[in-house]
Amino acid sequence: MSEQSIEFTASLLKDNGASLELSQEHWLKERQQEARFQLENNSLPTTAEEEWRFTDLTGLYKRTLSVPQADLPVDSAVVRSLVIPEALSSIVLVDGVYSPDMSFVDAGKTKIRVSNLEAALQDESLTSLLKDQLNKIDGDGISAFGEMNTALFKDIVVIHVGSGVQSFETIHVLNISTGKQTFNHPRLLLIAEKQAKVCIFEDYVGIGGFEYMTNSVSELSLAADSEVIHVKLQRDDDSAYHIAHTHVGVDNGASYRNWSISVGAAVSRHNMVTRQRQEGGQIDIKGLALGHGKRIVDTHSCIEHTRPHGESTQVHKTIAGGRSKVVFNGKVKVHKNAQQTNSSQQNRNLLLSARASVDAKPELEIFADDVKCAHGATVGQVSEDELFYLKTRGLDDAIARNVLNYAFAKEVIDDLPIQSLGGVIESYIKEQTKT
Amino acid sequence: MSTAIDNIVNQPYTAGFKTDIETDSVARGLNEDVIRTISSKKNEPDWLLDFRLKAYRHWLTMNEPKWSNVTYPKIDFQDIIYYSAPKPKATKKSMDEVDPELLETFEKLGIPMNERAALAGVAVDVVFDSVSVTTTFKEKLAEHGIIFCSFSEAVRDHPDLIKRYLGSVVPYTDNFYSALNSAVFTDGSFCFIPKGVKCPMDLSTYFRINTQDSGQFERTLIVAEEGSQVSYLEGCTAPQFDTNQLHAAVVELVALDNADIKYSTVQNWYAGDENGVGGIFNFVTKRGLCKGANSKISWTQVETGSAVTWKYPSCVLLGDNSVGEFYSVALTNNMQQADTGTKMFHLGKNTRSRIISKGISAGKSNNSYRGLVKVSPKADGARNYSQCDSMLIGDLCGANTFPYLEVGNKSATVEHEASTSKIGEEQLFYFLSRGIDSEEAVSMIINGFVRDVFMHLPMEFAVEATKLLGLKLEGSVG
Repeated sequence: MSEQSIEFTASLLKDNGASLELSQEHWLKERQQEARFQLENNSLPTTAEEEWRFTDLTGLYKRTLSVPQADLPVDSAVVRSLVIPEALSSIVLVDGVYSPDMSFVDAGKTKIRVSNLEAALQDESLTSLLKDQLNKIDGDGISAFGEMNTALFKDIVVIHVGSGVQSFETIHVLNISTGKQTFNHPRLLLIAEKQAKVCIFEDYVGIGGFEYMTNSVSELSLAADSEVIHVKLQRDDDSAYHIAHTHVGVDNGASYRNWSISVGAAVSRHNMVTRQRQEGGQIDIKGLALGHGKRIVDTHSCIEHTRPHGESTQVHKTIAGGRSKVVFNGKVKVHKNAQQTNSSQQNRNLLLSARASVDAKPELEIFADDVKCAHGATVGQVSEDELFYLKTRGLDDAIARNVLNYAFAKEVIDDLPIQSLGGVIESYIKEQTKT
Repeated sequence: MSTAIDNIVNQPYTAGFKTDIETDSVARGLNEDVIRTISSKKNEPDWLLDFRLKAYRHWLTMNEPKWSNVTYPKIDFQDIIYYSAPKPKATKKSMDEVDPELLETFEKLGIPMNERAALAGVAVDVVFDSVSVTTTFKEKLAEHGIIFCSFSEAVRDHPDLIKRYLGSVVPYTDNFYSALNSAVFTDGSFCFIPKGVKCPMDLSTYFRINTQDSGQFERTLIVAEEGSQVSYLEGCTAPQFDTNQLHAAVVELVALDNADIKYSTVQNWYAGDENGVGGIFNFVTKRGLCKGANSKISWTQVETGSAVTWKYPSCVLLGDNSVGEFYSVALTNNMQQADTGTKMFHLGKNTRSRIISKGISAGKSNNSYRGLVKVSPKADGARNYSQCDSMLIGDLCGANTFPYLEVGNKSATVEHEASTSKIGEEQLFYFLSRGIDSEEAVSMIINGFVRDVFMHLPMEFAVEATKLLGLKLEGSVG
């Protein structure tokens, strides 16, 4: 146990002692207390642990973070400019707390119930949903930071897509950090009932905040034959720590499509566990991570096939420039009963600079014999031939490289279901991969 | 088809017998006195005893590693006999003087030393338990200036070479088992190929583990000087015992400029019965150092035995343009566990490595590939290609792939791919429809699966390995 991490945990718990009072509900209070107990009695990860070998959090543990000040003014024009035009509803959380003033739900059009914790607890059916699903999507995959979120979240965004609601409505969940050297623990729970369809855009951005820590948990439950599109864009401030957990449960015949794009933060870590809970089910995950400056960007993904006939595909691309470090750990686990699983995973890494590094670890764990599983990983650089080709067409070296870098990343964002995001991400890529 | 298959799969371990030879052992357990005893029994110089003691003291500070994907009962390191040698008789002048019972052992294993050596043109340095009994073809090799002898002889006759290279690739601080080995190693093989010499024949060592409960800690050191070339074969069989035996060997290879070392292993140690009782624990540290420019080290291994296999033959590619290769077939059946793979450290410029790993899991076994490709910031133009394929036979076994790619140089190109499959019904049907019975079909499919590796084995080994696979696995598809 590192002393620093113990002190760090203690300071977080001390500052946030009052948040328990928020939870009036007995069961919720119990769950938060249990997580708090776990947090107090287990140390936060260090590089001595296999799962955190490549990502050093010492810098985080050295920071003194505090609870963000409530009601800091946020420029609503800036918020409006961030909300994507496709969104029928936009939920804005400021430092992990739902902001009714900034959020917008088109009550006339939407058939999806969106609620914050306070409102959800006043609604019987939402309360019972919360009780059933919160912290339950992936019970055994909770890391120390997941426990931290459970112990310290101040609000929960609850999205309930009723049975048969079929409209791929886009909901923009915008997490804004305004704090300076503060922490926030955003929490999201999405329940898609049978045959429901929804598109959710989970967005993290810093406005005015710096050196803060975002520690989020998103739980998504997909009932039979539902379809969920989930786009996560992490564009936190370059001085921030971003730690995120995504836990997804997929039922029979459901389809989960995810795009996870990481272009911000000083250190970011995305823990993603996608579990097939019943027979069948389709899981498609695409990821893009940009290493820029001294950034560390770490993606730990685990796709678990626990029942027969599941299908999954994963493409994860990274570009490492500057003195950045890019980490990818992609596990595909096929349990004993999961016969006829079909899974493929690809990890492609592009190294731009002499001082950048890439650590890739694609893992296959297979305990069923009648399966097709393949994975591939590559690390390479821009091809001289391609560069030469573009130069013969009159592009200078810098532009040619930029074009090739973008072309490399394009496969991931080409079929993004939210059109307006394409341009946003393109400009991040071009900006951050400049030579 | 399953009865015939069962018969073959459940074939008893044919190398399982115990030779009754009086042995000279030290008491169970490990302490500095035991190490001093080993050292003095072997008439070792002081510097070697110092090396052992340093290693032992370092070992005491280390913890048994826990990260691998294998489970086994805790090893009591104080319950092992660290030295056991056949009682010394007068120095042998010819093969006739060798204990006939010992020769019979090799006979039963199908290694008629003298004949085999002559017919196959192979020089065999036989290690029976810990002491080398006889060395053949020594004179012929000596004509070329090649030194091929037991480790003890090398310590006596060539102390400078041993002093210079011992622990230079695998330092005693490297890991728990290499530290243990450095403290208690009893014998092994030493091979030195001088400048510009192409070794005229394949060199070979057969290891035997004999005394019950005796750990086997060999040490192999191969040094290939500038421009030399050698192919080294290591083969293993062990008699059937019910208690687990620990095997923690260390193999060090050093290749200087333009040297080429090819190291092939067929490992068929007792794997325990179908309930996982008995069997060898095989925790081996094998590492080659491509010290010079344009040097090359190639590992080929066929792992079919041991209850627990834990080994990662590695290449440290220090010299510019050096090449590392790893070809592996790991087969596990019944309750066997294997966590094996390789490590390629790219340090020099334009270094290249290639990894081909084929895992076959059957029964209730668990087979993992674990590999590391590390490109240091200075290794401009490094190139790696890895391919790891797994085949599962039956639905009670497991196959895992844990490749680590750590790249710190932008001009490096690293590729890894892996796949998992089984023998398809359609494939079998295709063979059946052409009049080939399922037995033979499975054998052909498996031979096809491992072909990429077997083609890198020397002739005699390829034959032996194919036979082994057949024995161990043929037709486990039901």
